[in-house]
Amino acid sequence: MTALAPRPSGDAPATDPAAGAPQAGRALLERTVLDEQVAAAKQADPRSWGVHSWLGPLLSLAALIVGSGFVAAALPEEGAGETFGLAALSIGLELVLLAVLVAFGRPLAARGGGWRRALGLDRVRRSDWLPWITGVGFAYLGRTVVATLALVLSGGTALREASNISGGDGSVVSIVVLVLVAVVLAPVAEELMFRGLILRTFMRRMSFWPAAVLSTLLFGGFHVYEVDTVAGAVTLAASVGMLGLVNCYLVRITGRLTPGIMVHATYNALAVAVVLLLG
Amino acid sequence: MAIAGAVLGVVDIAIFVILVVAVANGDGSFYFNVG
Repeated sequence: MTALAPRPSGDAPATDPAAGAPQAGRALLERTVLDEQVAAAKQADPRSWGVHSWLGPLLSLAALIVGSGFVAAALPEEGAGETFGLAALSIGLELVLLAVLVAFGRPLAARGGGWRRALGLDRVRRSDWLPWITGVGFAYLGRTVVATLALVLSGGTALREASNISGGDGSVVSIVVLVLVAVVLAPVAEELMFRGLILRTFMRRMSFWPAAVLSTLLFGGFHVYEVDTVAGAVTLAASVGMLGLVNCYLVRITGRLTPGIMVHATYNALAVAVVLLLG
Repeated sequence: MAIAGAVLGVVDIAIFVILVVAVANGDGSFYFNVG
């Protein structure tokens, strides 16, 4: 048994295929739980999930981004009005996105036997610590490769332009909102969207890697509006794309979204901590 | 044991991240993004 082949956890029912129990004897990184889940789901219900299951969330997110831009432009430009306005806008955007995802995911969950079985959404388990730490390591390894390449190719300019996080005006409200949005709401919403709805929808039509790459391109692409230059956008998309690809693989080997949500939250939490403490 | 391992792992990663990012930026400045 390798270091990445944990003991079968006692908190996963041995007879539950959604928990990956049939692959418990395989090393963690060699498991293909998601592939088997999707194949079993297609066998049980061959009907297509339909284009709306992935295009609907994407168009909704695009509309929310554009709409929030207009709202932000109408906010006061200084003082408490700006602080609380941006706070409400940031939190509201994530909550509306979550509501949209629930609306698109509910019929799929109903058809597929519930949120966990159909989309991999469930609670944290004790056994999640290993894929979590492994995922954080790989995500930061990928991010470091991107950062190094950007440094070599642009002399550091692209790195600075790819930064999409700030501590706002430094007020307690800004910091609380930053932590709430970046560490809690965004990881849950984005994992449910890109590694839940979109990845699984694509995998009903194609194998894992094409589906993972496509969903990751979309994930990276939906972050580029946060920066102002092409070099910054490419660097940012590649950087968060590494996180997206790692999380796709975590879903594949666990069949669940939770480890990816934990990795995403940790990735963002480290960035927030560094910006607030050292920025 | 698992909890101790997890804590140590997180501490290791945090140190690794801060060091690597500082080096990767070349000038000791910090650049970060969130996903």
